[in-house]
Amino acid sequence: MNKSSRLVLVLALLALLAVTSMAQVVLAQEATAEATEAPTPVPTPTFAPSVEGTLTIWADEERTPAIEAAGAAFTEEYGIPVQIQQMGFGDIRNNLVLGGPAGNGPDILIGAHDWLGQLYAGGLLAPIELPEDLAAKFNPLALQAFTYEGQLYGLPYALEAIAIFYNTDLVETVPDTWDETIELAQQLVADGKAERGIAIPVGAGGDPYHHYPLFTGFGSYVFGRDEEGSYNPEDVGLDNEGGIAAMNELDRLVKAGVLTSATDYGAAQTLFQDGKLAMWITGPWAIGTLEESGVPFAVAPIPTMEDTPRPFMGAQGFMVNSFSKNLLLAQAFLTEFVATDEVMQLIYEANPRPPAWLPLAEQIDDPNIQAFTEVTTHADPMPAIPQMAAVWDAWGRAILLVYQQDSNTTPEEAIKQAAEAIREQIASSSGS
Amino acid sequence: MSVTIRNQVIKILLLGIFDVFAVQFAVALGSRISIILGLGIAVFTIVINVVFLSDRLYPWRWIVPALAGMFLLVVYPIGYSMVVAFTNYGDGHLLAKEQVIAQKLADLYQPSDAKTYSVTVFRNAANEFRYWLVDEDGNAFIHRPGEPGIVPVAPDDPAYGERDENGVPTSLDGFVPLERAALLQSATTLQNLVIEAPPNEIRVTNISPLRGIQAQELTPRWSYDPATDTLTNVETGTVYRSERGNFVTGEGESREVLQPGFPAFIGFDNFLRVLNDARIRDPFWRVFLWTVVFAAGSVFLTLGLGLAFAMLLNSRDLPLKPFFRSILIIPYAVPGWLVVTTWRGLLNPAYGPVNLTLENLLNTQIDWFSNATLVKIAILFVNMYLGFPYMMLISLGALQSIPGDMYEAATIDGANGRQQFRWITLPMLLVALAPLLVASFAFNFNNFTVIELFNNGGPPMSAATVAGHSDILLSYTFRLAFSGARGTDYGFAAAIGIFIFFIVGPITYFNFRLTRQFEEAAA
Repeated sequence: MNKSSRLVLVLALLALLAVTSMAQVVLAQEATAEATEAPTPVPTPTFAPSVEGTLTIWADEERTPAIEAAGAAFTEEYGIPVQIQQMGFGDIRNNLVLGGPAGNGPDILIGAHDWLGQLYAGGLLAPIELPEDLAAKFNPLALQAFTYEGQLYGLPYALEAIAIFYNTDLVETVPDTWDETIELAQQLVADGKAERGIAIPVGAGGDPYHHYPLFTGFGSYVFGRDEEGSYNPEDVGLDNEGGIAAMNELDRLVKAGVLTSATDYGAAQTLFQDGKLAMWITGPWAIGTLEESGVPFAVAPIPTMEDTPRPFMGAQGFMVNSFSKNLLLAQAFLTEFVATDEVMQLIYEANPRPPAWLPLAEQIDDPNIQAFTEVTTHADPMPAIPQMAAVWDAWGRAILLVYQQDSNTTPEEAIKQAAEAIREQIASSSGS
Repeated sequence: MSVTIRNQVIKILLLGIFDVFAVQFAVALGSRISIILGLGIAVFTIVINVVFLSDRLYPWRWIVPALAGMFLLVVYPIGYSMVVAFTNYGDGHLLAKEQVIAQKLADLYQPSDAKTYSVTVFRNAANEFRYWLVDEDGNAFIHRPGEPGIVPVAPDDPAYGERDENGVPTSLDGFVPLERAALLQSATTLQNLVIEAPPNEIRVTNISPLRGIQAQELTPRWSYDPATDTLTNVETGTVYRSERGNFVTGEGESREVLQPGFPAFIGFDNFLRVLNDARIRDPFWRVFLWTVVFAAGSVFLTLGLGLAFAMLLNSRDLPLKPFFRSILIIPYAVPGWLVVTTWRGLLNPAYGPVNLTLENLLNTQIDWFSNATLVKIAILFVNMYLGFPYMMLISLGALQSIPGDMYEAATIDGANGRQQFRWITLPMLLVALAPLLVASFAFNFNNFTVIELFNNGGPPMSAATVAGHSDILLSYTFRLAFSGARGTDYGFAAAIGIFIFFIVGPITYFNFRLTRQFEEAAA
């Protein structure tokens, strides 16, 4: 090949490069122009629907069908396209953290109230303005759970807290006190009626969430609260007298063989479905599977220990991405459209949980949902402050050490070490 | 001649297609992630074009793409981690500083004397808008986009024609009120509407088909001074200085931190935290020792079982060989996480089949998850189950490559089966397998999946440290980095990653030396 033909080829390539890059620049400009420019005037005398905004919602598998139906109705009524992207419940949070600041987030997302601390500190949420007459229709506990630093960051649709599921073939009613309940559990096993009397789920992480009522029942707490009811991360109460009493009670029950780490969530569920477990402490998410299994069951609050045990209350709701380009629209969608009987009913039917929408909660005649709704009224909102990450871990290890009957550590030492570790971690991270 | 031209044309077309993607990739990464990354890709794109067009640079055609891949997938991530290790990037410090400032500057509030309006929106066929505003006292104003501010309207001004019961005209300059359904469609226009009303600005704060449109006189809550790098709360007058990735005010007890924060360089703090915290340091050597035992033990056990099965399958007398071979490969073919979680269920202390059998036979239950020694035995066993089919496969191949006449000669010399295995099979095998064993050791050294899925690294050593008895180095650092008081802490995680590099680096070097020695011995 001679020199001139090679020159021609190189020039051809350069031309190709130039054309492709220019095409790309033009395409990119067109794309941004579409997004930012005002819509072109409509030359017809009637007001054709000129789409100025689209709502994008991230929802989990169980909520997607309900929100799709609601979105379709919204589109029909107002001509605004609503796009729903389904992803795992936990992925919603992670994807918002990663994609939100880069402008890849949705307008609205489904989430749990205990994400607030992390998302707020990340500057990822926009506050929601709820008119007073609408606010009155929501369970105040759910609104309180979604309030952070004095502002509302979520429109709640459901609440949850844990209680006792009991097999009505084996247990007539759950006794009023914890001690009687434990005796009943032991009696059922001794009589050979049940393989296990009572179970609290214990995972590889110790599952402090399911053990929290035991701690509050003896007078312990995670974080103290100030006058306004906000949690104070500098007041850790896990190793107060109540906390030590709770650990000793747990130790007693493990030694007596009443509780065991063998009943992780899956094992406990299987046992309960097979009628081999009389009482199981867990939350409303188990209702669906248990109903399908056909085992006869009812729900009761966790019986009184020294105090009335207060489980953690979790709220689920809609949040608005602070990087949304349709803040007003998102706000209007939530307050005008989601906060209505019809949409709340749709969400409830898709996945029954105690509703946060009071007009709906009053109508529900499902006794299990009613029982759980009742439980949420004397529950503590799960702390949403970011410091909770340190708590779950150390606290869970202390609980595990009791289940393992670790010979080096007494229950009292375990919870003291855990609380100390939590305090130090919170102190070391508060400055940065 | 025609063939070369055709080849050249194909080459240039392919190169052109490659360039389209490469330019797109460079622009996307450069604008969204890092300008360095974008520039790096651009430089490599140019170099690749030059190399492929020049015949003199022919040998470089194979090396340059490899170098580009190495830059993109190895060098850049390492450099990035090293930079991140000196920052507090993580939860609470996610947004860039400009984003934080922009967010603060966009935060508006309503001063106590500012007005709230209810707004009626009018639109004409050309999709232009007029706004009719009524304040709390019933005074009406009009705003025409393009004209500054709002113009007061007398209540009985006849210029605006017929009015409804609220005093709002039924049409304005020939514009008609926006219908209920069209209201939300104009949300973007309304959101971007800014009406001057010095010292404030009027913004639409709520649109509701039922309640109508609300606008408020608002003013920015924050002002930013780039010279001093301070944010000032206009409402209270408090000045916030920029400090370690947050805007803060006050000292000591009265110190107040503004959220959100942004990543900031914090020097060697992350490294010092690793070195100074006794709860991080103390379990370190125990974790390290178990990591080595786990990795070496896994290699030894998988090789032992795999080789035993391979010799069995290799013997002439075994019937149904293909059947057994297929059966024995199953653990290798099933996804690892599935196998580990299944074993977790099988070993459940009270309800797992393993313990039920033990209970029936020996009247004893073994708690595989709570005892520090037992959990290690269980993990080694599960990892042996997962890994032996691989060792079996490669041993089968290696066994068949040993010449049969060596065994014949040995038999003639009077060597028994055990001696043949010891002095012929094993040395010949090890020469072939050694590099793979070294690789297997390195793989298990970082086998996060098995450890995490089997027992989350548990049982815990104590309530105070995050380390569990079955934690290996990698799962331990994962726990350190992601279960701290701040949630996700990328800066700290990167610092630990650098420490790990200094530990794993020498081991890898030693591994390579060993592999080379075996290869030299084989050659």
